[in-house]
Amino acid sequence: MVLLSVSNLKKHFPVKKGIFSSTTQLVKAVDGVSFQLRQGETLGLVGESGCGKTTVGRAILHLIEPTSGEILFKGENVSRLNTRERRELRSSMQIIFQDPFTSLNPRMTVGNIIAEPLKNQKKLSRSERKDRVASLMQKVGLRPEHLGRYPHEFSGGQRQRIGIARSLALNPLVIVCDEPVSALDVSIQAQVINLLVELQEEMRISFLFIAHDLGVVEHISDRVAVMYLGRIVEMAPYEEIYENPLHPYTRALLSAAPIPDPDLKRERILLPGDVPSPINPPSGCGFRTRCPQVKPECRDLEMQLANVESDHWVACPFC
Amino acid sequence: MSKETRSQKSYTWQRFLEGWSLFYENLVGRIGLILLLVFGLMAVCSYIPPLIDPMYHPMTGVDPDVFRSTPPSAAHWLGTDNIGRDLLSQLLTGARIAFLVGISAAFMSIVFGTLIGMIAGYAGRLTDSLLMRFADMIMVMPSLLVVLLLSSLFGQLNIWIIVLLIALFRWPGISRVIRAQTLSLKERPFIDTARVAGASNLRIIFRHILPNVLPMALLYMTFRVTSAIIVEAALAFLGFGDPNTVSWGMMLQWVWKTGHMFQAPYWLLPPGICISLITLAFYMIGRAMEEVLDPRLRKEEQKV
Repeated sequence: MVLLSVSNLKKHFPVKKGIFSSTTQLVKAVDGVSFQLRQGETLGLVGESGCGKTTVGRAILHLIEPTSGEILFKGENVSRLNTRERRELRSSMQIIFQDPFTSLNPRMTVGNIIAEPLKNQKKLSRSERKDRVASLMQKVGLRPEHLGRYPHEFSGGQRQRIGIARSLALNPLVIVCDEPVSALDVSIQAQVINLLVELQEEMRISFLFIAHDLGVVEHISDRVAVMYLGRIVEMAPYEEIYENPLHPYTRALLSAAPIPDPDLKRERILLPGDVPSPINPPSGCGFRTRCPQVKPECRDLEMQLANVESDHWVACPFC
Repeated sequence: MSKETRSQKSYTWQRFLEGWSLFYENLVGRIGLILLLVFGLMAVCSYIPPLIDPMYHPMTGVDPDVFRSTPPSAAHWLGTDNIGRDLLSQLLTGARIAFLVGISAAFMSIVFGTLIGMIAGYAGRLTDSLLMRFADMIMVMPSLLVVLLLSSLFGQLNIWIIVLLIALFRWPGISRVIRAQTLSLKERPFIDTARVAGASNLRIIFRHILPNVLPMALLYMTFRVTSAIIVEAALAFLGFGDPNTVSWGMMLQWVWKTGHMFQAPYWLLPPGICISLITLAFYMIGRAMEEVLDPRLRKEEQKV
């Protein structure tokens, strides 16, 4: 069942200049992204920094207003909801942020942080709420006795667990995980990832898992979408992406991921140049300035995801 | 449950003790605090003289044997004014008024300044521009002059009206500082998480931003106390104080008006020194608190 459907999502940030703050240019952070998220699955969204993956996550939760495009949650258009309906919707969509040090209010106790969504959305008595917070803490592997402590008394991994507990408080259907482990040590990363996998199996949550680390995404994702310059260039089940990458960017990205085996050598694809500025992206295919297989026609192409195999989508007609 | 609340309390207590020890290590803060304690004691003691004898009442008590200003004596430790009122008792009452005016005016301006600063910073756009331009307007207004104008229009002003006027003229500086803090706070991810958790704007302002700007607001309050006391003293000295209260400024005005400026140093000096010292005390405490709150101001060996 399709839970969340995003079609042609765009977010352009104006660049303001001059005394009268006239908008002179637009940063096309997200420029036409479409995907679907099914119930209980994890969609990994990967790409290098600045490709717009975080913006997609924030737009889905309406933390920023998308410029255009539709976000349908259970068939309902999120942009058309009024403030109250949107708040209700938020009980079924949650987010886990990248930095566990800034995403928790330093002046609130852990108990209050986890209870906040409950206070806003549900009418529970004090003791009911307390029980719920204790069980949530237990679920994510924190000791319920610590609910009176402040965030700075916890380690990074524990803080991220606090963030996870808070996002679970309202039994959401979708959680956007915005690089939830990239600020953590590798050993802690595995623990948090495993916790997320367990919770998903237990509670049938769908994850939109944003990351720049392909190794992490491989471990958790059912499907992977690769983003480049505000667009999705390839989307497929994770075995497909890793074994049969079609888009030249996906191949380059995969070849850049380190393999923890010194004897294993593989060909590295080095892309020339830098990512073009999203203020003035190249015409046609956005990747053509760095593509090893560029053709003259690429200048006039529409970057459109096309289905090549079952559930394998690529935005390049030459692949 | 009780065990948990206890550890929670002890934790807050522990943080308070940490801040306190940093504050106490600071010589400036210690001097300020001792000065303030002395003034506090004076304010408390101000209730004693009228109990001993009604002639020690600072406002209405007149020594029947005294017909002109007398220097310090056994009956009047600091002497009397020209109609025979006890100066020590006036000085003690003055401390009470200084605290009352200083703290209530500072508290009110903190409330206005914090609220307006948070709203301007959080709302942004037009609200922000309007509120801040309004703050600029008030900031450049010569407050003493406006209060003088008002009091000459409406006659003698009640002490609470003076307090309110001081507060109304002293919030813009605070609101600028609080707005700047709010601007940085509202971009932090924990505000986004609160929004995703379904918090309303009001809840975000009061539950998430306010606790984070409160230390700064309290710090500015100590500085505002200083300026409030000075403004009140200046008003009283110029003859626009509340005639029914005995403040240090009023004492100075009486010295001046009765022509004892250079004849009675025992009358002129104590209120003058008290005004300087109490403002100094609040200023010193503010400086020491600033160092506790802002680790960048601490000396090398104190850094935690």
